[in-house]
Amino acid sequence: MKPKPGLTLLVVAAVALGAPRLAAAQSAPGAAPAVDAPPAAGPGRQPRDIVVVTEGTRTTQNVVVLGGIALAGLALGGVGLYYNLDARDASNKVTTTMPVGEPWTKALQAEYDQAQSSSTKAEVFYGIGGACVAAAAIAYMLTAPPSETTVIHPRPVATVAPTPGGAVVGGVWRF
Amino acid sequence: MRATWLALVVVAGCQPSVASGTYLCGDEELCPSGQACDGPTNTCVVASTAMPFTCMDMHEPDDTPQQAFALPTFGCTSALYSEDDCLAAGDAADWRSFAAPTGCTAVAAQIEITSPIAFEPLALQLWDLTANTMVATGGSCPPSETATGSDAACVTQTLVGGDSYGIAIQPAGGGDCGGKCNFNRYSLQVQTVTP
Repeated sequence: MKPKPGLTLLVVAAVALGAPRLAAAQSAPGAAPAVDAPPAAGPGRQPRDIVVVTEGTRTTQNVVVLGGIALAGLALGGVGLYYNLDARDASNKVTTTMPVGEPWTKALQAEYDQAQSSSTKAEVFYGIGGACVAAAAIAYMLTAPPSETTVIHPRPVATVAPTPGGAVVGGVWRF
Repeated sequence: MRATWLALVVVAGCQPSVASGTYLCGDEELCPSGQACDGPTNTCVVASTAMPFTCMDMHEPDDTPQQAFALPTFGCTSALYSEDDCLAAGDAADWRSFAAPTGCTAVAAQIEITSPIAFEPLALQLWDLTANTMVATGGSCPPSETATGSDAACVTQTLVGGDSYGIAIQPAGGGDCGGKCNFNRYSLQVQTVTP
C-alpha cells in the first residue's frame, strides 16, 4: 500500500518505547494485524520500516463451495459406512475358519454375494468420499486469500509537548 | 487421507472368507465361490484341490433281485446290521436280500439309508421277493436320525415269516448336477424288531 499523502499519524511514544509494545500486541490473543516492528533506533540511526500484515478474508462463495464438497465427501463416506456395516453383517454369517458341519446352501451363497457386493460398494463410496474431502482440503489451501502488507516508513521528528505535570515526547511522520 | 486408508482397511476386513474344508457340500455339489466339492469327503475345498468322487461298490454285480447281496440271517429281534456302500455313476440299483425269520409272534424290519445331499438323491424300496411285490418305499426318518448335510430314508414294515425280501437302493431321480454327480455313497442299516 502506498503512503497516503495528507494522512498524518502521531505516535505518542518514542520508537524505542513503542517497539516492545508492538511486539507484545502482536503476540497477544486477538491481535488482528501482524506487525513487524523495527528494532530500537539508536542515536543517529534511521529507524527501520514498520510492516503491517493483514490476513485476507475468504469469500462466502469460497467457503460454501469448499464446505459443500467436504460435506458431500462426508456424506458419501457415511453411505460407505452403511455398506461397510452391511457387508460385515453378511460376512459374519458365512465367514468360517473351522469346520462347521453344515452344508453350503443357496441362502448362504446369497449372504456371501451380498457381503461381496456391499463391500465393493463401501470401497467405492469411501474412495469417492475420501477424494472429496481431500480435494476440499487441498482447494482450501490453494484458494487461501492473499494477505495485505502495509509498510510504514517512519521518519521520526522529535516532538515535545507539555502536559500537566510534565511533557510527552514523541515523533511525527507521514506515510 | 489417513482416514480414507483406515476405512479401506475396515472394508477389507468385511470381505467374506470361507476357509477350505469348513462347509459340507450343499445340494448338487453347491459350494462357495472359488471352491468345489471334494468327492471323497463331500466338503467344500479350494477348487484346485478338489478330488473326484470315487466309488468302491462292494457287492457288484447287485443290480437285480437275482443278483442281490444276501444279508446275514436275522432273528425275531436282531442287532443292528450296518454297511457303507455306494452307487457309482450310472449304476441303476444296488440290491440286498434277506429272509424273514420264522416262529416269531410278529416281526418287522426297520431299514434306513443315509446319504450326502451333495450328490444324487437315493430312494429306498422294500420288496417281497417271494410274492414279487414292492411292499414299502422309504419315507422320512425321525429328525434325530438325520445328520446335517445328509438325506435319510426309512422303512418300517411288518414281515411275513419265511418270505424272502429284497432291499433296493436306487437313484431317486433329479438332483444329479445335470448328470455330473449321478452317484452317491450311502449307509444302510437293517434291524428286525417285534412290532
